[in-house]
Amino acid sequence: MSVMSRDVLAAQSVLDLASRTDGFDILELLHDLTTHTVSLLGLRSAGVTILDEAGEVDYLTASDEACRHLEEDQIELGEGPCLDAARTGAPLAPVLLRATYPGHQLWPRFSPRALSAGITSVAAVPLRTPQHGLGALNLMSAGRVPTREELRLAQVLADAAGSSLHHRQTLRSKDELINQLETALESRIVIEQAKGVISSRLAIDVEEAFARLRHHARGRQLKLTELAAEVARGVVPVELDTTR
Amino acid sequence: MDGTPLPDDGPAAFLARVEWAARDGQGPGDLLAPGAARLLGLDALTLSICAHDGHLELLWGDPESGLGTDLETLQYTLGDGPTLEAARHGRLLHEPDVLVTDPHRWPLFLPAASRTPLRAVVAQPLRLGAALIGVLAGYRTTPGPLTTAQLRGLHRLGRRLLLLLLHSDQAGADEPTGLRLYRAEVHQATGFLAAELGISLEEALLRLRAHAAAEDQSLSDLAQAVLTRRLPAGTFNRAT
Repeated sequence: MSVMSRDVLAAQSVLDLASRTDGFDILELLHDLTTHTVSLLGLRSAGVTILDEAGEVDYLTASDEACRHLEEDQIELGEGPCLDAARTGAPLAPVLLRATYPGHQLWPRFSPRALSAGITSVAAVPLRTPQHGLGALNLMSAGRVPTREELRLAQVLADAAGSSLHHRQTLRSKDELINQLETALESRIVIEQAKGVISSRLAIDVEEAFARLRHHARGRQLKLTELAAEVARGVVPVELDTTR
Repeated sequence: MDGTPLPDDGPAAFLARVEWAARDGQGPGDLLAPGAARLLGLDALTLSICAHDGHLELLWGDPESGLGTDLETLQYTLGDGPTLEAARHGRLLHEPDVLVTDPHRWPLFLPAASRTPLRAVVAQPLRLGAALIGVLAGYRTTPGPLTTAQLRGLHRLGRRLLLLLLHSDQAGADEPTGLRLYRAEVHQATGFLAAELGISLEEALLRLRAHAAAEDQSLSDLAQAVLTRRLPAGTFNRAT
């Protein structure tokens, strides 16, 4: 076996997800999980859904705005692959969404929306710690369907993130782990508000606003959520404006 | 708030009822029946909300009058105290014994409170991202920390109250029916509008909701129009 550059990237991604320092930002970890998965598997999008304390499915993060939109659509419609995957905690083999294909019968209202966003197939792997199931990493493809090996790779990436979550929560109960994820659900709102503030200040769209926010946080080793909270309150670091 | 007293079946059943009420679109007054404080191991519980001018207003108390509501009135009059501090810092505040609290922390409130039976206080801000919607405060006449279960119960009650408060004047028809709040674009538009007009997030959200209600438009559609600048931010200067 020869080592290909994708193997190196895969190994680097696993290391990145599994070796977070104490008190890391959960949303940041899971967002990185989606972006690593998208780039390694050549997907259109990826997102993370979890079961909350009341047993309801909610989404935590998405690789991009289009995927975030589709996750919210599923929660409103009450149907879709990301809901099923989070509820069952089992892997979801790739399902084609086009009319006459199985996905269309499974999710008759979600499928047309996904197709109009350019998504032709969906799949999912569980997000879990060694002890508990938490939710799902959802994979959305345009065109090529992920192979069995690629799904195994997605599972390794999800488990690497799960391992970081486990170590953050060592010796704690599932309740407390869910509590932490719910805090992440709440801080997700701060990030959305911060995107809006940056979008206004720099006259860029929200997607680009998030990229700037993420880049700034990473470059300065700031926690994404803490930076977003400052920005949401109107304190926008001048370095975010790369046109200056 | 003259609901029937809660049967003594514990905080879990109480929280489940609050959740059902939230799903049914009821207001806080419909479900915060007397007895809620006791279920959380407290002697008094109050709910204050952020008014248009940014000040806190007492919305509800259990019991309806007495220690809890008196302590809120005291704080709003004097200008310092635990509820106001929780609102300002946006974090849970938990003071197991006010007799040993640093007197400089609440220089006006503490002397006044020492003439009441207050011993322990907890205050949970109700936040939507970085926007403050209200504060849930609990008071006890015996010192000592709340248990982890009691704190979690308070936190969960706070989350459900937040939903009730924000759904009480629900604008448009497409809002989610479950326990989720607005779609992400509503939060994005809140930040956007706050930055455009130089107003607080709280005020921006209030103006968005008022506009959606007045125009009978869904909040999500309105938010998209704001974010794409199809609807100029200046439109919202007339909203209040």
